[in-house]
Amino acid sequence: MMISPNTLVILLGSTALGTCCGLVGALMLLKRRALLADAIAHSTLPGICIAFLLGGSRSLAVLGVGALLSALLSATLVSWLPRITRIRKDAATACVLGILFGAGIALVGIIQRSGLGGSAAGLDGLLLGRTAGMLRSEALLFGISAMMMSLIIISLRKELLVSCFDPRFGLSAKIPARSIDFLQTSLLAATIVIALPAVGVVLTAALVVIPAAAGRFWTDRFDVLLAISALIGAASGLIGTLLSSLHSNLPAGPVIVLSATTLFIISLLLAPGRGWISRHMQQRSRLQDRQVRQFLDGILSSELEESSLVVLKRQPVTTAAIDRRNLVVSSRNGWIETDSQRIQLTPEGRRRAVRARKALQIWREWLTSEASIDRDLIDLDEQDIEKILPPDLIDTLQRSIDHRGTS
Amino acid sequence: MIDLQLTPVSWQIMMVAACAAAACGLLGVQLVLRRRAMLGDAIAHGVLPGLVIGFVVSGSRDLFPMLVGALIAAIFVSILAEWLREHAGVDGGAALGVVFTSLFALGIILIEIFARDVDLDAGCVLYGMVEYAPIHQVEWFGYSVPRSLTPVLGALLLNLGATVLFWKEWKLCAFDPQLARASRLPFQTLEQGLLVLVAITSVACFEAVGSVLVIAMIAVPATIGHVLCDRMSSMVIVSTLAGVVSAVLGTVGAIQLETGVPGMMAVSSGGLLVGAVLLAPGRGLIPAATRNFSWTMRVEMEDILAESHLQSMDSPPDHTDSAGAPSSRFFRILATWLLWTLGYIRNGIPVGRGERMARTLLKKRSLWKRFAAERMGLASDHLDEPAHRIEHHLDDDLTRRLESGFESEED
Repeated sequence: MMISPNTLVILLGSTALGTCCGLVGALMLLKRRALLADAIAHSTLPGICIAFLLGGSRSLAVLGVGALLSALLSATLVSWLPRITRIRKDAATACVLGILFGAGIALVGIIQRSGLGGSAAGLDGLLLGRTAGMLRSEALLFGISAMMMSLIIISLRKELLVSCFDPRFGLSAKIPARSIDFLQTSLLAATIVIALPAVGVVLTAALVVIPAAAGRFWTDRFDVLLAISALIGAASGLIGTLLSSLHSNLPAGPVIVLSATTLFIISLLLAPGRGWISRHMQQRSRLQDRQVRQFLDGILSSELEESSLVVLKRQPVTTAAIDRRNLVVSSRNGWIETDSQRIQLTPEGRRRAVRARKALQIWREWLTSEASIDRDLIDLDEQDIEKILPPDLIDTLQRSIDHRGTS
Repeated sequence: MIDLQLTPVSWQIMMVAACAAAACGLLGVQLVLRRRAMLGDAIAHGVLPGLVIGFVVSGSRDLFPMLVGALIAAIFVSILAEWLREHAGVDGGAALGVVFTSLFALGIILIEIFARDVDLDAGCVLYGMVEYAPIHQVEWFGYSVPRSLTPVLGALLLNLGATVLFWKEWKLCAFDPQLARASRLPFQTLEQGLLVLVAITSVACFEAVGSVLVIAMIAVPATIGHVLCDRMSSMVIVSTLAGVVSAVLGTVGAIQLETGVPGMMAVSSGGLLVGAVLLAPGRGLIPAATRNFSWTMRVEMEDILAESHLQSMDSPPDHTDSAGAPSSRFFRILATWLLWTLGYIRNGIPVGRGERMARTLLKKRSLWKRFAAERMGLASDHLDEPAHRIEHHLDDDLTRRLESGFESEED
């Protein structure tokens, strides 16, 4: 396929935009302010309309200033209301969003009916974005400002890290928490204003929130999170714009957002460590380890008692299926030998079982001696437990055990 | 004079809007108390793909299939966001943000693909069409009412019923979730039920008034209630009333400015919220500022009176420079002017009531110094500053008790 220079500029612009959104989003995610982006994006609408009514033009500079001012106003309100009133953060966010967006829509109505004409359609375009129809100069402008903001964030990495995780330490290290905070909010506002014409009022928040949330699955480190989040943002900007330019009837904003969502789902499933599959496997293998340990311990006990009874019958708590699996796993690992009648531990299996048993004894010893938990309370049989715990509590605990079993 | 020109059509619009606002306001209380006000926003956006799929599957603009689709989508939003938070370790706000924005994007694309040529666009989801409510009429017991009144009124009655029925349970879940879990309440079911109600409400209101309004009407009236009230009962009433009042003001404003009703309703609810924040009795910004100001003035005036009284008695000057409440020059000058105007001080000497105030204050000061020295064993050079601070706070009762305490000791 052919990529015209015009498309190339637009692609570069939206990639830079995605990068910038990813970086800012990572900061907002760490500050637990992800939804602030949504509120700010929605509340740019009245600013744009007022700028349009006052400036009387559709020039991006005029509308951008209006958008930026109302974005800053809403960010200030959201952080200021919970501090001086009893309104909480979530309610403040939702109220500012609802009221300002509503005001914006009322203003759009006024503009449409006051006969300012075709330009009102342009304001409508701001709701959903129009990357495909983006002018080359606009794309260039957005790209450059996005790159500049990315540079600011990268160069202030250390200060931002401190303000995200430990603002008090920041104060002691002479990092002005308030100005950094303000800088962050302004960066968010500016990013959103830049992203508006491309992805629209409603979906700008997605471009800020999703890459960061996706990046969070891959890492626990700040720098890496910034990098991955920026990368995911850039990738979704690029892929989304490409796709929407291939199918001219698809608006760019939603496509960009869905590309980001796809990357999010991939991260959610596949990321090592925090990803869902990896977590699930960890949980399973931990459970299996424990069952095998108990199984080996059971054999060890029967061997110590020198009874030759069939070991399987000494496992009342486990089901036959689990027993069979344990049997398979253990014999595959060379921990037990089986003949037609009996199951026997190999030396290796015996060593493991003894080690596990010893560790358990040491743990019990620590609980009694160091953590001073009464020895009688550690190994209890069922009658004692029924005596000690009130029936209500037993019910509740049983329910939580069942719950854990099913989930 | 504004000519209100409330035609029957306006009344009908107002009625639909008021029912929608009241329905949202009732549920908003529960969400605001649970710190989940943003859920309204999320669900209002997230229902879009459900609406479109319902539309595509049924092939008509019938309300029912779209409602079902939207309801499923709304429940999907809340369950998915919850799952991401609980089982995938995503931050709560971010989880919600990811889910509803993605669904909204999906909805727009579905519209572009399947429903391009019909009258269903994202704009009408956002803005709603309450202005057109009176066009479609249905007969109710011989009265002709707007068709969209049915779902909205249904949602209102449903929410009202649920609020009354689950009053105690919801209250417990909102204020003490741990206790609710421990006390054998079906906690999960109750919370899920609330989410389903939010979904039903936003879907029912969508057709009539648009999702903007759902966002604003879930958050704002309940927040007004939260600012003004200390009890859930009064909060529910205030929130519902605030919703209805914004509907009335919004409709009137929209007619005056010739713009959309939902937007104007959001704006008027915003006006009410600003009013509540500024004027709430006791903790509003203006009452609080007034209280602070009058307190500062009283302390300043008492200090000035006491100082000048001591000077006029030629007593050794008290070291008041650093002691006492920190004050600015502005308040000091204002207090001096006020004292002079009131006639409490003449030629630098307290007279009349001013003199009495100065004496009282000095008495309190010495009482407290004595108390601090004798009972609390403070060193003599530590007596002045706390005395200067506390003298303004000793009321008559406490003063009497200090006095009588010392007297009984002397006896």
